[in-house]
Amino acid sequence: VPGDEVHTWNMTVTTGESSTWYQASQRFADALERESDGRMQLKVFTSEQLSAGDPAAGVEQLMSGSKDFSYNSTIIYAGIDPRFGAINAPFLYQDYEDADRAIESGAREAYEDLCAEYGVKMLGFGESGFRQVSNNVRPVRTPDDLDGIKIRIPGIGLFTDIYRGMGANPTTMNFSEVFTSLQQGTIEGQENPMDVIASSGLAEVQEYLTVWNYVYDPLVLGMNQELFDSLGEADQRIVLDAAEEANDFQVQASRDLEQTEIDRHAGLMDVTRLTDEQVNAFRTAMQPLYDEYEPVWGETLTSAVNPGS
Amino acid sequence: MFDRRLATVENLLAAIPFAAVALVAFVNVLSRYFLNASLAFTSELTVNLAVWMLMMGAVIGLREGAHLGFSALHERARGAVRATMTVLITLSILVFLAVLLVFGLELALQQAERGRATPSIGVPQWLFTIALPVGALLGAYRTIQAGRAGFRTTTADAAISDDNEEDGR
Amino acid sequence: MIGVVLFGAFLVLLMLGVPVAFALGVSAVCSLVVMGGLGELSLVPSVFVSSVSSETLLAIPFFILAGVIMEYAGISRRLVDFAHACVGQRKHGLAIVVIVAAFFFSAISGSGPATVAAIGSILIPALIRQGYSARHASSLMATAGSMGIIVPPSIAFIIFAVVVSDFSGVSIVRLFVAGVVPGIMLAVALVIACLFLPRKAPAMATSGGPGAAQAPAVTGGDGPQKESFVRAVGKALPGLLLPVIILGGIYGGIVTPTESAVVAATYALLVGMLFYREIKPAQLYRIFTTAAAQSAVVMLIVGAASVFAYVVTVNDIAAGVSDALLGLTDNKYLIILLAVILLLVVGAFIDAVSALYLFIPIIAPVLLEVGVDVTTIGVLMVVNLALGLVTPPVGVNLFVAAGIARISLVEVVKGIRPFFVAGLVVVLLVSYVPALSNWLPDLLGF
Ligand code: NA
Ligand code: NA
Repeated sequence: VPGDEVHTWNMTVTTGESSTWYQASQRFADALERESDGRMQLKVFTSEQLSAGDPAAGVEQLMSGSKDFSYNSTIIYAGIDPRFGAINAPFLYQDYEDADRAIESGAREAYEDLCAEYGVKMLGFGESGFRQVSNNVRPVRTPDDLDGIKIRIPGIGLFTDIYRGMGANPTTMNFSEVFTSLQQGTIEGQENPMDVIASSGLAEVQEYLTVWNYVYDPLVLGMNQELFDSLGEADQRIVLDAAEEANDFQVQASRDLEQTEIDRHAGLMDVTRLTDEQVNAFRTAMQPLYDEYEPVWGETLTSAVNPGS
Repeated sequence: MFDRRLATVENLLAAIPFAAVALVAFVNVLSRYFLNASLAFTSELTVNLAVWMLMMGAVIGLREGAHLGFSALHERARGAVRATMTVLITLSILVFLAVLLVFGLELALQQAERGRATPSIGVPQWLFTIALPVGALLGAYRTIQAGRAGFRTTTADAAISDDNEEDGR
Repeated sequence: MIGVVLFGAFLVLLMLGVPVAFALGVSAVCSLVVMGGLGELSLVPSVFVSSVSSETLLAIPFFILAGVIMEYAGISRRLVDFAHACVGQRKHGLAIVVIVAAFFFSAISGSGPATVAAIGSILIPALIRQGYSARHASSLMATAGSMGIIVPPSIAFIIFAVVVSDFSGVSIVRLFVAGVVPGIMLAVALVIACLFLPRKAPAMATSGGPGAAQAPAVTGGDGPQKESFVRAVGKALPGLLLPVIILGGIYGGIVTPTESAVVAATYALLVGMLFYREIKPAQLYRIFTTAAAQSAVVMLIVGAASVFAYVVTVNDIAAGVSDALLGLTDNKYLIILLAVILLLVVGAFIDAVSALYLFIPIIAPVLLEVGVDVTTIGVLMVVNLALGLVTPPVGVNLFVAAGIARISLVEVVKGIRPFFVAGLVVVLLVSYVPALSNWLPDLLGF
């Protein structure tokens, strides 16, 4: 009888135990256990421990059912199908209001459909936040300011093209080596959400921070589709509700943390916040990139992530 | 004759990816410092080619008995005990290779179907994953060969060595 | 329950004589099937491939390649001549040459057996000719070779940094710097041990080991060339520049550790082809094949150990053992002693790479819990496992040295005692005095 079954599930997050990703996953686990009267047990693993640290392989495990749940950035999913990268388009959203509006008015549904194509039941979005850039050479205010800077980026074509387009010198590197490499000058800059910049203490080795909200980075809370389908309706409801609770908590926690960290870093680094006008200059500079990538993202996704007005 | 040609193929499949990986990585360092243009995409190539190098290198290791282990008991054993141990060792190696073969092939097929490609330059991922089943297949052949040789002679060490086999021909 | 299957199967397979990589893989496969049936095995290739396709770990094949090229290029031989010109003239001079040359070579090579192979083929026969017994000659060489994984660069420190990152972050560069002082300490301890070595008159040397004394020549079978200091330095200079390029490149922020290995290999190749002219283009095929096979032996262990580690992680096995250890005692000094003993036993039976994958998840959290810093933990484990390279029954350095001296493993082991004691002293010192590991990296600001 569905409703009597006992489940032991596992879930991974890319980040460590102090992250909002992990905290939200623990909430998810608690809600599942509570609402199912202890029938649903979820064990959460940090740092992609179930795929030897490789998030892309982790997403594959979720697709094929070797894993039950995960929080993974759409940037990672884009390694499997580039359409997932549509929402990571540079300078797509000015602020969270823009992002929320787009997600409510179609982006979420489009991503649910896309995930379903790959055997993943998307239980909503969490959020890694807007990605910001830091470096040791000069404050970044215009596209030309990145010229020649050796910057560490995620090993994804989109990011390479963004930084190439601005004349920077992008390179990939394991994140564990980033702090030392910045300290020693092997690289001069990096980009990440505020949470990562803060928790890795990059202010110690970076002089300039630009808050430019250039890439919105949402997290897919994914569940293996077959696993979801195998549950009775009541249990599916428990999972969906618990997921919503976890996502709401995570998004709020991430946004609070971001604001706190930006304020705190104003005392640690030379922080530049771009004005709308300055952002527009970057957006204009990105036009060739949009032309190149819109066919890659496809019409459905490109229009679904549009912030509208 | 067949074995020697196969050995050459195995060697080339290990040496060429290795040389390619080293060359690409070196050119990347040069270009970053002298041309101020890093080839960011190269790292996904080097990292993935390493899988071919590993699997084919492992096959050479099986051919030449180079994989590390605790062989004191096996070497000391004689007669039926030794023969049994030889069979069990061979079977154990084959079990792991079989898992890499079957499930590696499964993963490669899934990747081909889903279209996973390396994130920067878009090389299909299955081209790298396929090294698992290919290497496992060749490795199984070499393992059986070494197992049979170990069964025949008293000194397994000597029998596993590829040099001996080549001398015999 | 799963823990019993996993470690039980591993032990049985290991004792049977299954190579470590396959013993790890098969015991993990058995456990996975017990956990969730055959279907569970579909994650094996995914974990295996992700673990080995890492940019950081790519340093391993590159450092191995650099070592192989150095041998073909004749750099190793010139380093030996240089060490001989420095310290070869005094009493026990040649024994000290072994240690100095091994130290230099360790500053280029990331692996223990590679160090033994590269300079042992010259120095072991030479030692025997000078009146040392074959067992002492080969066991000294084997122990000196352990510096290969202590003195930076080091495969063991790279793996430690990768595996320990689940518990605490530490950069490879900091670990590399931390290995310098313990490396020097081991060198000094070995020199002291050498002063007590018995030695026959050189004339009687032929009784050393069958064939070994007259060994006609692998490269430089004549032993170190006696020549003027200036000439020896001049010839060795390109080789002596290698550690400067590797370490200077990393610490100066010019290259990452992985890139430094590539640069070192390329540099050695250029020196061998253009300067010493000992490498012919036709040899490249053999060089890359040899290096690929040697690298694969290590990387296969990494891949299989990662699958093994998956089972450990999913079942919370490490946490269980760690809690049990802490339940036994929470005395810091006793816990450290337990860790040292455990690693010495483990190091006797399995290689350093497997041991790191298996025991970091168990030992690191416990030591962190009682207040040992992560750098000291890294040095403690690596120096311990370096000693494991020369403890029977599985000591890779012993195998290589025995092979060169053409004596049995049992015979080499008979000579190991003074060097083992020297190593043990260093192990205990670095385990209990964190300053030995932390002083230099703190001073240089890593
Ligand atoms: Na070394
Ligand atoms: Na040992």
